[in-house]
Amino acid sequence: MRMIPTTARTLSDDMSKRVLSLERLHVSFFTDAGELAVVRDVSLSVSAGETLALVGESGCGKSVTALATMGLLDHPGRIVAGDITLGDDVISGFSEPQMRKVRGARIGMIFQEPMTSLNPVFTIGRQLAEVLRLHRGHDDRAARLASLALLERVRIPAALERLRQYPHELSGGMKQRIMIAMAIACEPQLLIADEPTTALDVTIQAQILELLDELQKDLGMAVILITHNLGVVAQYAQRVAVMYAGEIVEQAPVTELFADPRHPYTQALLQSLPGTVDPGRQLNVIQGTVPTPREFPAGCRFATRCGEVLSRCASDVPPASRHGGNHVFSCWQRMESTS
Amino acid sequence: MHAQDSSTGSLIAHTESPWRLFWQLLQRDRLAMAGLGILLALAVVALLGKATTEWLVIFDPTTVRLVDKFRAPLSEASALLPDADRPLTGVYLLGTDELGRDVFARMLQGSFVSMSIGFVAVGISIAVGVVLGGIAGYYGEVRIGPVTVDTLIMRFTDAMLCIPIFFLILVVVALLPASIYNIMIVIGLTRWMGISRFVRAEFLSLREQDFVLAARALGLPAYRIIFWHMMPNAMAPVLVTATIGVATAILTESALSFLGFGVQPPFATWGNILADGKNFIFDAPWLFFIPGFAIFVIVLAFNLLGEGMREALNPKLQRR
Repeated sequence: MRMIPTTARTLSDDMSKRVLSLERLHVSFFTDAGELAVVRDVSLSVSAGETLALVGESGCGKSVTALATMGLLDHPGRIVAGDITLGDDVISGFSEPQMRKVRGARIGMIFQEPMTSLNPVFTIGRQLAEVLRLHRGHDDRAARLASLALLERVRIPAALERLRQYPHELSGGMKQRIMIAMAIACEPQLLIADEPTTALDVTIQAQILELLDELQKDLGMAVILITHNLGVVAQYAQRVAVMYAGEIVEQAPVTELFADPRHPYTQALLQSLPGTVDPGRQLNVIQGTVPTPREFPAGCRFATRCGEVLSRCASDVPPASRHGGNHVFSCWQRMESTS
Repeated sequence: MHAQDSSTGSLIAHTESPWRLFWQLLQRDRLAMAGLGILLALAVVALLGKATTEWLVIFDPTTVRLVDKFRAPLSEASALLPDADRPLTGVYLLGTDELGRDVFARMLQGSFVSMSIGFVAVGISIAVGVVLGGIAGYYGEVRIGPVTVDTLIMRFTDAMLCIPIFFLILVVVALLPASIYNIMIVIGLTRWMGISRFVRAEFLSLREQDFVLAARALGLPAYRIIFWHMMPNAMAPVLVTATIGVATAILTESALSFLGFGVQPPFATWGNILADGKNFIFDAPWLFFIPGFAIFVIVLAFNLLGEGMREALNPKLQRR
């Protein structure tokens, strides 16, 4: 896949179309050893019809952010500060019964592992029907008809037979299509796709992403695409938020981020892609690994691995600074060099 | 993967449910099928026994015939017996006991009592074990005050395991009237610990699986996730334990009856027929060996079936 996006779609930062916004979200895990600030000060928003890509290394808080949005954080994780707003509702203040009406109905979610995301002891038809019964109040017949329509919508051939099959009889790509069908069953405002193609082989990946793209256009959903594949980001997202160690270090429209990355981490990520060095040469790497939450520096969390670290980086949290209209990043070094 | 994904309906195989797969594997196990056959036959006998000794009295287990004491199996009834007291066809199929009661009729009556005690007791222990184990596994980390739900439930389970069950049952039975129902409840309430441990262990691993997270992400309520989505996936070891547990419950009831604490006369169970028979083991060995053999057969059958199910549910042996 090409790195530079071929089609830069228009960017909508229209407040009225805003579907989801996280404002200064902090998530901590309360372990025996004390509080671990896993997600710090994350703010982002997505509008209807827009795809926001959330990228970053494993363990940088992408999934935790997604689960917090769904209200699915398990003990010992908890939202300690910040608001999550879906449409006009502040869902971070919702009770569990209220959240149950949001999940599956207003926010759909698909997961990384289609192989294990379906219950092995029930047929596809029963699992699809369950969602429709729960949120739409369909009876058996209506649920069945709606399931058939959904399977056709996600391009599953021979839908009638599929309804009677068990998950182990289907391929990974097929299962992911079914997960998508379940997630969009109630036409949610927002779809969170947590690495939807990581477990699939490359040809299927493209099909699934095309399908998601098409469904998004049809339904006008907002999509949060969690991935670490920058090629996917370039092709399918309009905006990108780069996460590192539980913080968003840079957020920008996709063309701008690829053309003019500001944060050293984003730059290093783009540098480490194959194609930046001549064939036969060693690829660029970012030295070291993401620190564990216990070892996060007090200031900029990238300070331990940054090549251009300043003295204040380790102790002071860099503020978000703007670069152009929609490009936001948090770095002491770049802030000073631009201003 | 790709070929199947992009092709149309032509490659769709015929649908196999996990249960059908299990049944196919179980059918290959001859011993298990023999066990199942014996159990089905005994279940029919037990139902017929209930019908023919209590509702429509063809075989009367309570008639006392002092002229026909200690008749050996297959012996004919005495000519002195009034017509109303004669057994069907005039032959004592399994002999008579010290009061001249028909052992065949008593065994028939006892088969229903023994089997129903086995099934009901296990039903109770499954209900308790599954609910406690499920809650401990699903809500494991949730805290109530200083302890987690998991700790609370599992330490209670451990405490129950520390009590010598048989003596606990003896104490309870000594305090309560020894009716069939009390015995069922007592055996059931003292045998759930293994099941709750199994279910908890299964739930701990199931909880981490994506389909549980997916079910939560679809907004399903917790009780539905626990009992509808997770429970069927945790049932395999429970089923095996339950099958073997029925045998254990029947044995426990027999042992209680043998000690005189079980179901009281005039109700016959295999255990109390055996207990009555032990006094006459040299004079009338059939009184001892017939119920003993019946208990042996049913326990063996349950164990064979249980072992067969364990094998058939073993994922390593599946899809050979």
